[in-house]
Amino acid sequence: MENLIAFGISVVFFCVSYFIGTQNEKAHYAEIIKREKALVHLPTTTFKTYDPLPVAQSRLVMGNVMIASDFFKDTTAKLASFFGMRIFVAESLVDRARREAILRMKESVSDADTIINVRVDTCKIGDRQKMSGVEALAYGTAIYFQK
Amino acid sequence: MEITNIETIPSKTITTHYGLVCGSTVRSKNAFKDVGASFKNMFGGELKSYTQLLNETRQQAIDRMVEQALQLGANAIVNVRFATSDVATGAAEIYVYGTAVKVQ
Repeated sequence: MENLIAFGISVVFFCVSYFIGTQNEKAHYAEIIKREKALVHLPTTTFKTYDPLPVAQSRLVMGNVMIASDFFKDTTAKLASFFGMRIFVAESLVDRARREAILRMKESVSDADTIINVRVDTCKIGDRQKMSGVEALAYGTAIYFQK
Repeated sequence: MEITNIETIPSKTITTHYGLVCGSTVRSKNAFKDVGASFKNMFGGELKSYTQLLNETRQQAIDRMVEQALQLGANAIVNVRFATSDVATGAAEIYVYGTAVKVQ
Protein backbone atom coordinates (compact mmCIF):
# COMPACT_ATOMS: atom_id res chain seq x y z
CA MET A 1 0.00 0.00 0.00
CA GLU A 2 2.77 2.43 0.99
CA ASN A 3 4.71 1.51 -2.13
CA LEU A 4 1.62 2.18 -4.20
CA ILE A 5 1.22 5.66 -2.66
CA ALA A 6 4.91 6.44 -3.26
CA PHE A 7 4.55 5.27 -6.86
CA GLY A 8 1.42 7.38 -7.28
CA ILE A 9 3.20 10.47 -5.95
CA SER A 10 6.12 10.03 -8.35
CA VAL A 11 3.72 9.56 -11.28
CA VAL A 12 1.96 12.82 -10.32
CA PHE A 13 5.34 14.59 -10.01
CA PHE A 14 6.39 13.15 -13.37
CA CYS A 15 3.28 14.56 -15.09
CA VAL A 16 3.33 17.95 -13.33
CA SER A 17 7.06 18.30 -13.99
CA TYR A 18 6.50 17.40 -17.65
CA PHE A 19 3.89 20.13 -18.15
CA ILE A 20 5.68 22.86 -16.17
CA GLY A 21 9.12 21.91 -17.48
CA THR A 22 8.00 21.87 -21.12
CA GLN A 23 6.26 25.21 -20.69
CA ASN A 24 9.42 26.70 -19.10
CA GLU A 25 11.54 25.35 -21.91
CA LYS A 26 9.29 26.77 -24.62
CA ALA A 27 9.25 30.18 -22.93
CA HIS A 28 13.04 30.10 -22.60
CA TYR A 29 13.53 29.20 -26.26
CA ALA A 30 11.22 32.02 -27.35
CA GLU A 31 13.23 34.45 -25.22
CA ILE A 32 16.58 33.14 -26.53
CA ILE A 33 15.50 33.57 -30.17
CA LYS A 34 14.23 37.08 -29.49
CA ARG A 35 17.50 38.11 -27.82
CA GLU A 36 19.64 36.44 -30.49
CA LYS A 37 17.84 38.50 -33.14
CA ALA A 38 18.40 41.69 -31.13
CA LEU A 39 22.16 41.01 -30.90
CA VAL A 40 22.75 39.84 -34.46
CA HIS A 41 24.68 43.09 -35.19
CA LEU A 42 27.56 41.95 -32.93
CA PRO A 43 29.66 39.36 -34.81
CA THR A 44 30.88 36.51 -32.65
CA THR A 45 33.45 34.19 -34.14
CA THR A 46 35.84 31.45 -33.12
CA PHE A 47 38.62 32.94 -35.27
CA LYS A 48 41.67 34.53 -33.72
CA THR A 49 41.80 37.17 -36.46
CA TYR A 50 39.77 40.33 -36.93
CA ASP A 51 39.34 43.10 -39.50
CA PRO A 52 42.65 44.95 -40.02
CA LEU A 53 41.50 48.17 -38.36
CA PRO A 54 43.18 50.10 -35.53
CA VAL A 55 42.04 48.66 -32.22
CA ALA A 56 41.22 50.94 -29.31
CA GLN A 57 40.59 48.36 -26.64
CA SER A 58 40.42 44.62 -26.16
CA ARG A 59 39.46 42.57 -23.15
CA LEU A 60 38.33 39.19 -21.93
CA VAL A 61 34.56 38.81 -21.62
CA MET A 62 32.53 35.93 -20.31
CA GLY A 63 29.02 34.83 -19.58
CA ASN A 64 27.76 31.86 -17.61
CA VAL A 65 24.50 30.22 -16.69
CA MET A 66 23.44 27.23 -14.67
CA ILE A 67 20.28 25.49 -15.84
CA ALA A 68 18.63 22.86 -13.68
CA SER A 69 17.21 19.68 -15.01
CA ASP A 70 13.72 18.63 -13.87
CA PHE A 71 12.15 15.47 -12.52
CA PHE A 72 10.72 14.52 -15.91
CA LYS A 73 14.08 14.88 -17.65
CA ASP A 74 15.89 12.99 -14.89
CA THR A 75 13.46 10.09 -15.01
CA THR A 76 13.40 9.93 -18.82
CA ALA A 77 17.20 10.05 -18.92
CA LYS A 78 17.43 7.18 -16.46
CA LEU A 79 15.00 5.09 -18.51
CA ALA A 80 16.69 5.95 -21.80
CA SER A 81 20.17 5.15 -20.51
CA PHE A 82 18.86 1.79 -19.29
CA PHE A 83 18.04 0.86 -22.89
CA GLY A 84 20.96 2.74 -24.43
CA MET A 85 18.73 5.20 -26.28
CA ARG A 86 19.43 8.75 -27.35
CA ILE A 87 18.74 11.06 -24.38
CA PHE A 88 16.80 13.73 -26.25
CA VAL A 89 15.74 15.52 -23.06
CA ALA A 90 19.37 16.33 -22.22
CA GLU A 91 20.07 17.75 -25.68
CA SER A 92 17.68 20.67 -25.30
CA LEU A 93 18.99 21.30 -21.78
CA VAL A 94 22.63 21.78 -22.81
CA ASP A 95 21.60 23.65 -25.95
CA ARG A 96 19.64 26.17 -23.87
CA ALA A 97 22.50 26.58 -21.39
CA ARG A 98 25.09 27.21 -24.11
CA ARG A 99 22.99 29.66 -26.08
CA GLU A 100 22.05 31.53 -22.91
CA ALA A 101 25.73 31.76 -21.86
CA ILE A 102 26.73 33.14 -25.28
CA LEU A 103 23.88 35.66 -25.11
CA ARG A 104 24.94 36.84 -21.65
CA MET A 105 28.49 37.30 -22.85
CA LYS A 106 27.26 39.34 -25.82
CA GLU A 107 24.90 41.39 -23.68
CA SER A 108 27.71 42.31 -21.29
CA VAL A 109 29.57 44.04 -24.17
CA SER A 110 26.78 45.03 -26.56
CA ASP A 111 28.76 48.19 -27.53
CA ALA A 112 31.82 46.21 -28.74
CA ASP A 113 32.57 45.83 -32.45
CA THR A 114 33.32 42.13 -32.50
CA ILE A 115 34.01 39.21 -30.18
CA ILE A 116 36.72 36.84 -31.36
CA ASN A 117 38.08 33.46 -30.27
CA VAL A 118 34.89 32.45 -28.48
CA ARG A 119 35.13 29.22 -26.51
CA VAL A 120 32.20 27.41 -24.95
CA ASP A 121 32.70 25.14 -21.99
CA THR A 122 30.24 23.04 -20.04
CA CYS A 123 30.50 21.45 -16.66
CA LYS A 124 28.06 19.15 -14.99
CA ILE A 125 27.14 20.03 -11.43
CA GLY A 126 25.96 17.41 -9.00
CA ASP A 127 26.52 13.74 -8.50
CA ARG A 128 27.94 11.69 -11.30
CA GLN A 129 24.94 9.36 -11.41
CA LYS A 130 22.28 12.05 -11.48
CA MET A 131 21.80 14.74 -14.08
CA SER A 132 20.89 17.63 -11.82
CA GLY A 133 22.00 20.54 -13.94
CA VAL A 134 24.39 21.91 -16.53
CA GLU A 135 26.62 24.93 -16.28
CA ALA A 136 27.72 26.61 -19.48
CA LEU A 137 30.51 29.17 -19.80
CA ALA A 138 31.23 31.21 -22.91
CA TYR A 139 34.31 33.40 -23.13
CA GLY A 140 36.11 35.39 -25.76
CA THR A 141 37.97 38.60 -26.52
CA ALA A 142 35.88 41.69 -27.17
CA ILE A 143 37.43 44.13 -29.65
CA TYR A 144 36.63 47.84 -29.81
CA PHE A 145 37.88 49.55 -32.98
CA GLN A 146 39.01 53.16 -32.99
CA LYS A 147 36.17 55.41 -34.02
CA MET B 1 46.06 44.59 -16.46
CA GLU B 2 44.89 43.61 -19.94
CA ILE B 3 43.56 40.09 -20.37
CA THR B 4 42.68 38.37 -23.66
CA ASN B 5 42.29 34.81 -24.85
CA ILE B 6 44.16 35.34 -28.13
CA GLU B 7 47.94 35.19 -28.57
CA THR B 8 48.44 38.95 -28.61
CA ILE B 9 47.09 42.18 -27.25
CA PRO B 10 45.73 43.87 -30.40
CA SER B 11 47.58 47.06 -31.48
CA LYS B 12 50.39 46.41 -28.96
CA THR B 13 53.66 44.50 -29.15
CA ILE B 14 54.85 41.96 -26.63
CA THR B 15 58.32 42.75 -25.31
CA THR B 16 58.84 40.17 -22.55
CA HIS B 17 57.36 36.76 -21.73
CA TYR B 18 57.11 35.79 -18.06
CA GLY B 19 55.69 32.27 -18.51
CA LEU B 20 52.61 30.60 -17.20
CA VAL B 21 50.44 32.16 -14.51
CA CYS B 22 47.42 30.50 -13.00
CA GLY B 23 44.75 30.89 -10.36
CA SER B 24 42.40 28.34 -8.93
CA THR B 25 39.55 28.21 -6.45
CA VAL B 26 37.65 25.28 -5.00
CA ARG B 27 34.13 26.08 -3.90
CA SER B 28 31.48 23.84 -2.45
CA LYS B 29 27.76 24.28 -2.68
CA ASN B 30 25.84 25.90 0.11
CA ALA B 31 23.40 23.63 1.97
CA PHE B 32 20.94 26.50 2.43
CA LYS B 33 21.03 27.49 -1.21
CA ASP B 34 20.64 23.82 -2.02
CA VAL B 35 17.13 23.77 -0.55
CA GLY B 36 16.02 26.20 -3.23
CA ALA B 37 17.99 24.30 -5.84
CA SER B 38 16.36 20.98 -5.02
CA PHE B 39 12.96 22.65 -5.37
CA LYS B 40 14.00 24.04 -8.75
CA ASN B 41 15.17 20.56 -9.70
CA MET B 42 11.54 19.45 -9.71
CA PHE B 43 10.47 21.79 -12.52
CA GLY B 44 13.68 22.97 -14.16
CA GLY B 45 14.80 26.49 -14.92
CA GLU B 46 17.79 28.61 -14.10
CA LEU B 47 19.51 28.25 -10.73
CA LYS B 48 20.40 31.90 -10.20
CA SER B 49 22.27 31.33 -6.94
CA TYR B 50 24.56 28.83 -8.65
CA THR B 51 25.12 31.05 -11.66
CA GLN B 52 26.12 33.79 -9.23
CA LEU B 53 28.33 31.44 -7.18
CA LEU B 54 30.25 30.17 -10.20
CA ASN B 55 30.62 33.69 -11.55
CA GLU B 56 32.12 34.90 -8.26
CA THR B 57 34.38 31.86 -8.10
CA ARG B 58 35.71 32.51 -11.60
CA GLN B 59 36.29 36.16 -10.75
CA GLN B 60 38.27 35.10 -7.68
CA ALA B 61 40.40 32.71 -9.74
CA ILE B 62 41.10 35.50 -12.25
CA ASP B 63 42.05 37.84 -9.38
CA ARG B 64 44.56 35.30 -8.11
CA MET B 65 46.04 34.89 -11.56
CA VAL B 66 46.31 38.68 -11.96
CA GLU B 67 48.03 38.95 -8.57
CA GLN B 68 50.60 36.37 -9.63
CA ALA B 69 51.20 38.21 -12.90
CA LEU B 70 51.64 41.53 -11.10
CA GLN B 71 54.25 39.98 -8.81
CA LEU B 72 56.24 38.97 -11.89
CA GLY B 73 56.04 42.52 -13.21
CA ALA B 74 53.74 41.77 -16.15
CA ASN B 75 51.13 44.18 -17.44
CA ALA B 76 49.03 41.82 -19.56
CA ILE B 77 47.95 38.18 -19.69
CA VAL B 78 47.37 36.52 -23.05
CA ASN B 79 45.87 33.20 -24.18
CA VAL B 80 43.73 32.73 -21.08
CA ARG B 81 41.86 29.41 -20.69
CA PHE B 82 39.30 28.20 -18.20
CA ALA B 83 39.01 24.68 -16.86
CA THR B 84 36.66 23.04 -14.39
CA SER B 85 37.02 19.82 -12.48
CA ASP B 86 35.00 18.27 -9.69
CA VAL B 87 37.42 17.37 -6.95
CA ALA B 88 34.85 16.11 -4.45
CA THR B 89 31.13 15.47 -4.37
CA GLY B 90 29.32 18.78 -4.52
CA ALA B 91 32.50 20.79 -4.97
CA ALA B 92 33.92 22.31 -8.12
CA GLU B 93 37.37 23.58 -8.92
CA ILE B 94 37.68 26.53 -11.25
CA TYR B 95 41.12 26.84 -12.80
CA VAL B 96 42.24 29.69 -15.00
CA TYR B 97 45.62 29.97 -16.68
CA GLY B 98 47.42 32.11 -19.20
CA THR B 99 50.76 33.58 -20.21
CA ALA B 100 51.98 36.71 -18.44
CA VAL B 101 53.62 39.21 -20.78
CA LYS B 102 54.78 42.79 -20.89
CA VAL B 103 53.32 44.86 -23.73
CA GLN B 104 54.11 48.26 -25.17
